[in-house]
Amino acid sequence: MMRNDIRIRAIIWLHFLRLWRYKFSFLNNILTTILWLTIFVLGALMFIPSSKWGEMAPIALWGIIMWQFLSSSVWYIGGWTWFFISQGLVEEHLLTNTSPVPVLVGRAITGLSVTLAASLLVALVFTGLAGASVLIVYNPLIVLVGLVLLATMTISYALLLSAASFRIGIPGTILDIANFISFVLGGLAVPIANLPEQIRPIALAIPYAHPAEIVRYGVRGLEPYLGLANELIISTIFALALALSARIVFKRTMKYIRKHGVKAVGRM
Amino acid sequence: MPSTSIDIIRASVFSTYAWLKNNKWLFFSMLIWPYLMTFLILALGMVYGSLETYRERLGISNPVLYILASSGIVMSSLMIVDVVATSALYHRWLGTLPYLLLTPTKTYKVLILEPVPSAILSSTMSMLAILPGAVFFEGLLGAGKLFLILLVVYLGMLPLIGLSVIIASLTLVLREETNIASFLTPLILLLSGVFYPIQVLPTILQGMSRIFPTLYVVQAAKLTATYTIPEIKALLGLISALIILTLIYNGTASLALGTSERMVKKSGVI
Amino acid sequence: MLVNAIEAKGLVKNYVTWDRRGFFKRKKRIVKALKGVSFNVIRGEVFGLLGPNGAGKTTTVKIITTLLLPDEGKATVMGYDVVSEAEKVREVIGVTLSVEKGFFWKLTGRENLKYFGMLRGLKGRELDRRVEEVLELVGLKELGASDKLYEEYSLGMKARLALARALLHDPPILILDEPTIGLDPMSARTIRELLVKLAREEDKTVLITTHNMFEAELICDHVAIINDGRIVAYGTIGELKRRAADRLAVEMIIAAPHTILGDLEARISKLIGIRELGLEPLEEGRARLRIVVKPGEEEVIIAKSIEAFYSNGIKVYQVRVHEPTLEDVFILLTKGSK
Repeated sequence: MMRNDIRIRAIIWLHFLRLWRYKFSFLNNILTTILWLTIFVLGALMFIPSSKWGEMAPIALWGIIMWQFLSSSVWYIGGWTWFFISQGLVEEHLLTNTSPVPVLVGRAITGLSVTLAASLLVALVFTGLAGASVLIVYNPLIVLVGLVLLATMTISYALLLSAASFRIGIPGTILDIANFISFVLGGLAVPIANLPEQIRPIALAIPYAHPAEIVRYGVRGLEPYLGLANELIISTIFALALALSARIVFKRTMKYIRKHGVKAVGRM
Repeated sequence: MPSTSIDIIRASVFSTYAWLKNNKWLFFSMLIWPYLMTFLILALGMVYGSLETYRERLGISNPVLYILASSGIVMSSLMIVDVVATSALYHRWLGTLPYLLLTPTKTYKVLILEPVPSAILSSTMSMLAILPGAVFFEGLLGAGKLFLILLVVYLGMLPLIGLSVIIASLTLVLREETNIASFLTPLILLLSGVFYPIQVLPTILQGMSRIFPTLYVVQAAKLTATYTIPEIKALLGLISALIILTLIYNGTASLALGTSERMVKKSGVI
Repeated sequence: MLVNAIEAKGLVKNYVTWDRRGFFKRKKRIVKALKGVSFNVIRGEVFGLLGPNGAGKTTTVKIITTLLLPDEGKATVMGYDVVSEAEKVREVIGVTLSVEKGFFWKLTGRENLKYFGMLRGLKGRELDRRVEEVLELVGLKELGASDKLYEEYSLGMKARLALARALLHDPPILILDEPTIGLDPMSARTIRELLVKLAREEDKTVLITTHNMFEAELICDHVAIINDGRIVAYGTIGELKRRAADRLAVEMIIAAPHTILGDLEARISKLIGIRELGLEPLEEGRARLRIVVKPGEEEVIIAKSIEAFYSNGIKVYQVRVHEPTLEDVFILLTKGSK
């Protein structure tokens, strides 16, 4: 138990140190994220009459923040796996009886740092566009609960991708497509109630839609599609199921690589 | 015997082919991207507002075709900057950079020409990908318009290559994990007003946008998508701007490359 | 007390690979990496696993270090089974798999060691002390490289750091895959001397893989030669050399311009009827001729050769007969391998 504590401390220390050492990349990533988001958001805003910008801005902003949780988990955890494998670091960690999983999960530190910084800056842009602060929320605790549930899901999903990339090459585009689908159809961008009737069952089947409903309730007080209590239960079940799946799949992957060796196949 | 430009391009075409052959998914994914972007913008926009508002704001006749063409331009510009700007960095990761530099010809020739076939292919693929969309909306006229846009994209590629080489020179000098100037791509696209009129940007940004070639490519696309027959005079103006930028950027690029080559050789970061 | 630190018995390993043929075609191929490898490593010795490229050295090392499961066979390290007691095996081994990777680029040597030390449960003063000790031991401190970023290390420094990490938790067994590959003579010598010192003075068991025969002759107590997935020889250096005791090498320095060497080799073969010979160009229009003969044959062969050379106008400057080296044994045993 004691040893696991030291391991976790080591992993956290490693990722903060790397974050500092790659500071230019870090700043570049924040800037790149903000710019891409602004391009798409400006495009989307062209569909809305200026009089409605104030009303839509917080929903759009929080949708984007939630999407950032998803895409940064995918890219900072899943995408980094190739580097981790190709540099022989999987073997080096296994030799110290350390599973690659916590090291990969630790990349969430980098991903969340970029997400946080980029979100704050995008919030400033939105505040300018909407003419009022978009970061004032209705219930911060509920927002936090929703984001924790979402982060659990996205990190688990990223780990599933990471596990897959030990065995197969995963093209980055496929991940982007999945992310975009989750954004629009998965209820991250808009409340499920605002989606066309036919698409709602799809959104309900996508796990992220549920914490997104919780977050929106916390931000604007919008009643979640299935009610707050139900959404909390469903989100918890989805989060646990995804985390458990990631654990099982990674265990199997570790067995697989012991049988077949570690090969850097999963470039994303 | 010194290597000619043709030798470098031939070798690069071969390596691009071999790479695509062994990474088929990437090849197919190039075709999907513009549709993915169009889907994202349209879906977001239509959930938040209406297509009619978009049509009115931008003053275009076919918003879907326009977004599709803009997505194609975004992707092709992105590919050019990304391929050219990160090519040197990529070769450094692979350890092939010194061997590229050992090609018996001028270094700038190798660094500029080596990524060009891959950049042209990627851009062409991105634009050709939207051909079915163009034909669907406007029949053969749509295909003709697309061809016109493709020509402007090729022309826009010339200054973009110069700009990318300047970025590549910067990244060569610094030791980083990724291309630390990758923010420039979305910046250029943001300033070019790909999915919105640049008038929504602050005046200072509108002024800045004039130095980036993508602005003129986007405007040409807008002209083509807006009118049944694009105004030739307006198009010629845009083409002239692109030619001037080509001269400026490529001139600066050859100077920048020379300087960075000296710095890199001095510090030994190859 | 256990006599053998490492025991491997009948290790078999097959890999599946895909050959790419054309744009869409690919064909499955089974590569038999190990075909029943068995050997023992005695406690406190330096053991060399020798073999040409692709012979199965790294696969063997990966199985012994628990990173790869054998398809068949069994291996134990300090009595622990590498399959069922992998975690215990990892506690008692220090490993270097590659001298040029396996570290974080933007961390210094000291920081990298600290990180991997923490993963092994070291902490506080004990961690700092061990990190300093191993940095000192491998000579990185002396080179002033402890606080340099890993990406700025030379290959020699990287190799030293890899060895330092293997020693960090003071394991009784070191398993090192080609620890001196690509290093300059000075760095290679430092590492070799250190390995011998660790075995002799600290009673550590060292298993190295190498195809540097000179290195193996210098430091190994026992060696096994692996070829095409099988152990083809096992013993002390002396025992292995005796495997080639029916062979002697006759070396002659002759006057032979480089331009005629190809033709000359065939002519000499014909003149003296020897099957195993080699011609190596030297400076000033000379060449070294090497003929492998059976003991007792050497005088006749030398006389015949000199006579043949003089009658063809080829001067002979030097003649030397020597015992087989480990390299001769290695070439003899691995001849014809891929």
